[in-house]
Amino acid sequence: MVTASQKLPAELRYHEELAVLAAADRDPKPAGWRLSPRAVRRFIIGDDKLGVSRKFWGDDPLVDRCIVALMGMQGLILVGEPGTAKSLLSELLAAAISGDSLLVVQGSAGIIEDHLRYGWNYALLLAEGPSERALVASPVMAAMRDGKVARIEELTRCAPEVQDTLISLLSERTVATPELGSGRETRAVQGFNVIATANLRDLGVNEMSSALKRRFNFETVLPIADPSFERELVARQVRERLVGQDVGASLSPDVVDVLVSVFRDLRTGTTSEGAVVTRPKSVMSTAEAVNVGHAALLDAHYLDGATPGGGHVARQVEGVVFKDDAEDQRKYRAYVDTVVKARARSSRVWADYFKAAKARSDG
Amino acid sequence: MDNGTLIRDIRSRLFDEKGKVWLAPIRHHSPACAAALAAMIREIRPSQILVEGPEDYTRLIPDLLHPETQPPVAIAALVDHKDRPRIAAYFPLCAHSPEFVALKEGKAIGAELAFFDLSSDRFGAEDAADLPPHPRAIQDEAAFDSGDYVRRLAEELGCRDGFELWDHLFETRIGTPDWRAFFADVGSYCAGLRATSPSAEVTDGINARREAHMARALQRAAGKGPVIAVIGGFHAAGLLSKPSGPAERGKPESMSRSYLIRYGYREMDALMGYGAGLPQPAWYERLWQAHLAQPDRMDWQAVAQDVVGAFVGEMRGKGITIAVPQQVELLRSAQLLSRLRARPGALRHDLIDALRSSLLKGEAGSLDVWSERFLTFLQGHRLGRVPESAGQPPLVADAFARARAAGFDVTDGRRRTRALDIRRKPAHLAASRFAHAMSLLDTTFVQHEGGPDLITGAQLTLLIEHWLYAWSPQVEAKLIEASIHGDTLPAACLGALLAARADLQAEGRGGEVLPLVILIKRGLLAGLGAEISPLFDELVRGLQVSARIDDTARALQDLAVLHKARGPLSLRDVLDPAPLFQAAYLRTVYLCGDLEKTGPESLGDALTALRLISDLLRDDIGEGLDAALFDAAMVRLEQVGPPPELLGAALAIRIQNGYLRPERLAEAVRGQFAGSHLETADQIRILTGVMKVAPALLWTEPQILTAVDDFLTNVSETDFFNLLPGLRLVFTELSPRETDRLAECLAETAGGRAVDFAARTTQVSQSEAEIGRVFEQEFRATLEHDGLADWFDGALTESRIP
Repeated sequence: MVTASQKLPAELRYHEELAVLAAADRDPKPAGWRLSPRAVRRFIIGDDKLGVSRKFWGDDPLVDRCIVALMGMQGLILVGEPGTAKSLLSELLAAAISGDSLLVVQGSAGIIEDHLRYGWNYALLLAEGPSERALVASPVMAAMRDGKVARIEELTRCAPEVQDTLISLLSERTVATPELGSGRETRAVQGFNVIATANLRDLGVNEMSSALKRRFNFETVLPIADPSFERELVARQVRERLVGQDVGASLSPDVVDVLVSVFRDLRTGTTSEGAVVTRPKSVMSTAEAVNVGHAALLDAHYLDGATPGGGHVARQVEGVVFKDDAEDQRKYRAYVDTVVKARARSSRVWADYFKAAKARSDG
Repeated sequence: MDNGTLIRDIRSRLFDEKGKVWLAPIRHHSPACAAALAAMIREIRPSQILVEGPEDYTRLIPDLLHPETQPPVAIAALVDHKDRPRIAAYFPLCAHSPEFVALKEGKAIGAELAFFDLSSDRFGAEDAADLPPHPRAIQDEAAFDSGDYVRRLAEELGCRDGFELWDHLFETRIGTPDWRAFFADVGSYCAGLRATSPSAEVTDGINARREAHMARALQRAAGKGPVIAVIGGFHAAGLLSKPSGPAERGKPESMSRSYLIRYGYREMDALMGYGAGLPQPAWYERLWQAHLAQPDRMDWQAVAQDVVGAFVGEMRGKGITIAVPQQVELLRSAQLLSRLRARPGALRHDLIDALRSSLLKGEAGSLDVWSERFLTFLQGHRLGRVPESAGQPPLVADAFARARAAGFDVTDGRRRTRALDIRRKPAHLAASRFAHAMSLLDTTFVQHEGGPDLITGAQLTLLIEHWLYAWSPQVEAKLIEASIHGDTLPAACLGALLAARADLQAEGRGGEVLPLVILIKRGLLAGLGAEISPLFDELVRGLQVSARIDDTARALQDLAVLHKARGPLSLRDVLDPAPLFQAAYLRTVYLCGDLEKTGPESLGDALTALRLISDLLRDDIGEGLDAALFDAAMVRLEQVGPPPELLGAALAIRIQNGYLRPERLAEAVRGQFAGSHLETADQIRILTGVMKVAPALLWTEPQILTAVDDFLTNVSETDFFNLLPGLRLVFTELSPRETDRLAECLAETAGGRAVDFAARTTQVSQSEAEIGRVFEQEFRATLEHDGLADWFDGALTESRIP
């Protein structure tokens, strides 16, 4: 049952839109691409005329640059703070260009070279010796063979020597398999490229070598700059999460405003009134705001049986965002005691938020 | 008329072939508009060309078209009005400005040329109250980049802002032979802008008056043969409707003088902040040059290669290399981006995007180092030239004459140095005053390289001032900006100082007196002399209300210097600072009454202030001040039970000035040391005060040293460690020489000499020496074994270097 999955890959989720775009696509396509670059662009930033929804917000030129980078011989690496929809963008690009966003390597400290090149089915290897059948291609090698886009998530979490495997893959565009006989190799078919995502500043990430950096075009995905737009986005995404769940309630504009303001204040370090706020270490991304909004709604609906208000948001913010860093909690308390307190005087939703936040920190 | 009809209407009415009136709606500094306009003029061959621009500028057209004139140039107008500060307004023109191209083409076919907008003395007269007194551009095009129409259209076409939208729609069509369609499109685009602008912007105030004026001028011209009117696109619709309102009659309320001046791309780009025209002139100049080289076919590929090549060259000159693969990637990305965005070739934004993609390796904020370099490159640094016959604005002429009189070489723009012996040679002092005046006006003419800093009082023992100077167009541009303050150098300096004073008040720092004293000093250094008196009067008033003792004490100290000064800061024979000096002293004494309330955050400031006053009273320059008043204030302070630091300071000052016997302080110190405190560190707070204002008491008054010594000898080890950070802080007040002095005194009380306590030499026994020798041998052998012998020898050689 496909429909019961929690989350479908983009090419299935949006398969109707992709079909519409393909049918209407008259522009030239680079070799190996399912859609023309312009259709890929329309798939990601939307096209009202074709009924294609917008899926990535805030920086259209960035989308253009990504598409153009993928047409060339350089890989594309998306960097930026956590929660800025880097992975989403990478998934959408792969789905639109190759019709397949599942060729993914999830980067971690446990990744070894085999995960980027190829491994073996050891039972077959022992029984038959090295053979095509016994060889297990990595997603990257599969993408080369089929002319598709391979995705590598969190590249900088891999050990540097493993990362460097990509250098030869990206410059030679071939994987040699000497075990199958001398001269045996898999050459990349037209359409192959790599989209990596990485965090360059988080704890526990590895530095990239300059040789590898040279083989990638870097694109930075920034947090959303426009507050009104962020509010709209959060409200919409919370609504989308509730599709298929029997929850009638929704977040009122006032509540969304409180939610987004809290996140923006703590993310940027200045409030809309210009007051300075000490920034916590926690990630205050739009994605986290959606998580909090969603959780607040469920809390209000299932546990409280009330309309979601500032108090529900306040109760979730601390639990969802400030996991267990005492320093962060102090900064957040200071924020509540100054900025939120001042706003609580003139707004009921803020007053609600303040009361709940104080109750938590005092209790 | 609904908006759709309006937009269509414009298309059909721009060119009145029967009435022989052609309107050319343009955007300032747009090469595409310039190219279409040139084609239009060549085809129509009008007998008159009217250009949007104040009509009094018409007399500057001969200078503008003079063979020696090289854009970028600007027409600068200084507009005086009786009720408001002077305004400096600019009308910049570069080689690819449609207005400049129209005048040049018009001259070639012998057409009559004129500007036909409201004259500059009627400009901005009615909204004077809101006008900031800083330079403003006369062409205002804010509408091109904001507003619903632009935003919606940009969204539709996938452009990020109005600039990209303009380039996408119009600059891509540079060199099109069909100028009719081009201007019809510009016209309807601008009509769209106008229709969605707030109606107040369109119909109220200056815009409506200007349009009515231009419409009337156009009507007058229409009868006399074919006429082309070059106007900002936004006004096209206004000119097509019937002129409303009465003609401008009567004497204008302002007076305006205009000058043709040379201008620079950097200054032009800076004016873009005020919304006039397209930014980054060097980029558009390249488009224009490419069009001139091949008027019938624009080679976009070549433009991109040319720009990237030039950028790489400029970077190489700065020692930054861009590798060939990166250049290739840059060009490839730019080309593909332009194709993706349906453009004939890479535009400015495509190149900027491509540059970010291909050169940036790592995470970037909104403006990264490469984009910044590239934007600066696209801005360019071309400087224009004007013929000598064009004359100069008065302040520029005045400064230039003074520069020559003061012996500065201003024959060319080269950087030179000059050393001025300001205390012995009157001519050098005059030159120094000129240099200070130019620096006060921020003209970039001079740079202070060394010598005494009479403002902060640093390095006052130096005799010679060193300056670096160069006369550049930027200096002229800055002088014209400064013209809003006055027409001669002294008048402009005084104006600038008064403006700085007004800024202080606006910042809420009007109550501080020290900034005012600094302004006075700057004025004196610039040679203002008696003209400085308005600031003196302000200072008198300021001293009656000043509320902070540290600010007032510093002002007092500066005033003492002014009072006694000879040389550059001398006030002799001009103004008498003595009453001010007295007033400042009385105010500080008065403010001592507030000291008891000093909070911990301002203790440092208060102590510094007390030390300043006390030092002043014991110095020659404090002569004439009644020291008894200050002493009485210290007595009061001592009696009200102030924080221990201030108690220590008050007692120490009284002892130092001979009003009190040292026993009282020793007693107070012992009392504090022995008292009960919440924190151990509080015990020594009194010492902080003493050391801050009169550290010498420690060695001149043995009782005090004994009190401190006894305390430190008897304190427990734990307490000592708690006190240590505080003690360190207290004793850092001492200079190395004073530290030695104190050490001597302490050593004497302990019966010895300071050096005996310094470094202890350790006696090494023979057996220990033997162990060392064996170890060294083994160590050397190990290093030699590992092939690292030169480490050892190297280390020995280095350690021998003293």
